[in-house]
Amino acid sequence: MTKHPVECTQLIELTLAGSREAFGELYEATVEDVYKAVRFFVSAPSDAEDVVQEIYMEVHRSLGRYDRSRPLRPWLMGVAMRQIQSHRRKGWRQLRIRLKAEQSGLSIEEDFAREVVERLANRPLLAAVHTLPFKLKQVVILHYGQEYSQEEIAAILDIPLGTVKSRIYAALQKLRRKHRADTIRIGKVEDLHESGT
Amino acid sequence: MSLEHDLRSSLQEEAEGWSAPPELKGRILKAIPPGEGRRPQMKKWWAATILAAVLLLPTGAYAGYHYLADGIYGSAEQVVPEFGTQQGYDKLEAKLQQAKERLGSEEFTAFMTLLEEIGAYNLKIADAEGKLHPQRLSADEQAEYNRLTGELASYAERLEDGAAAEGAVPALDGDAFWAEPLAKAERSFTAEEFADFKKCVDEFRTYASGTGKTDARYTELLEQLNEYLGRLGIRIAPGS
Repeated sequence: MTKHPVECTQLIELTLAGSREAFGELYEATVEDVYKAVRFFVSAPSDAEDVVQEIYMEVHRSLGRYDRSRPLRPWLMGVAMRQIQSHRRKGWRQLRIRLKAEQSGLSIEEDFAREVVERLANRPLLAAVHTLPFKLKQVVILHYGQEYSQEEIAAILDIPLGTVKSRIYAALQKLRRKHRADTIRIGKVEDLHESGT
Repeated sequence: MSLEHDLRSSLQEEAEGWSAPPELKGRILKAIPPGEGRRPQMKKWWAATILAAVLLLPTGAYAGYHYLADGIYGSAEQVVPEFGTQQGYDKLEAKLQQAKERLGSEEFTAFMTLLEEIGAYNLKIADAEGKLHPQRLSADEQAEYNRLTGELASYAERLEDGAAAEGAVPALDGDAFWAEPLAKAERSFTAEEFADFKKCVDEFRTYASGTGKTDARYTELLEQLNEYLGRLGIRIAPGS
């Protein structure tokens, strides 16, 4: 978000007074963060665009209820996270893929995570993040991918700060274990090659 | 710690190339239903505050490019869609300009603060139609509200007196105002200068009689005219 908070407040005022241009500017000022957050959870660009659209429609609907004494960025990300979650629940993507697969006779791709993991085969850490349970992945993306503080994440997800801390801790533990397991496996493969020669 | 560092750099690196396609903005703006998301109580606030100002301040002719009302409301662009008309905003502005002239800068600042304070109370006590109900305030607030409106009334009396003493200010789009400067200009300007001056005056009068006072062209014209008028010993100041 490049705009100064005061400018954003003015844009919100103008949007509430009915200005579509002001909302367009607000979109420009915030979409980069929002789009990136969405892409971490929704891999296909066309689906990500649908979700971003849903997010901004919801922002426009609920802007009147936004408390302007609080920072805009976490509030907006809160709306984004709820929409991402609702997208997951609806399972649009799975349905669409199944329909497409049925039409074209291709095999059904069951899991989004597997597809990403394969793509990221040479970047094990990213691949491991995508295999984390959703709630842990959420805090990792927000904290490390988007630089939100733990307090901000608590506000975004509407959960206690303690829960944010324990989720980050649990996620790091899992990633460490995975990393260790990978290292051991690689070690074993190397040993195997060495002993074979 | 190095895991956290690695996480940060690899996630941010991954996201570097991601950006929303430019056409998405248009798609979203198009999908928003018209009239959605507006805040209804805004209207109430404008209505209540402007009502108070308009009732208590005397009317007068006005031409200007800097809106004093912007100090209270942000800008004409912001109020007009909500409050109704550019003329409505101009009317309030005219009253404020008049007050500024008569009160002097220090008192005028106090007067504007007073209007804002009353405006904040009016917001609390106005109903959906913009009618005020002071009985909705607590006893302490009512006493404060009465003190504020009493103070405003004393300003209003002085402004009324001032208006009566000065008499009507000629309208800037009327012939009466321009007859003298035009005659003077014809005498003292070169033919070319006079032609240009006359052109400016004609264009300016179409603005002064109608809307569009926020146009950049209007401000430009006012500056241009003041250059000529300065030579004639006249100046159109905001609020004259």
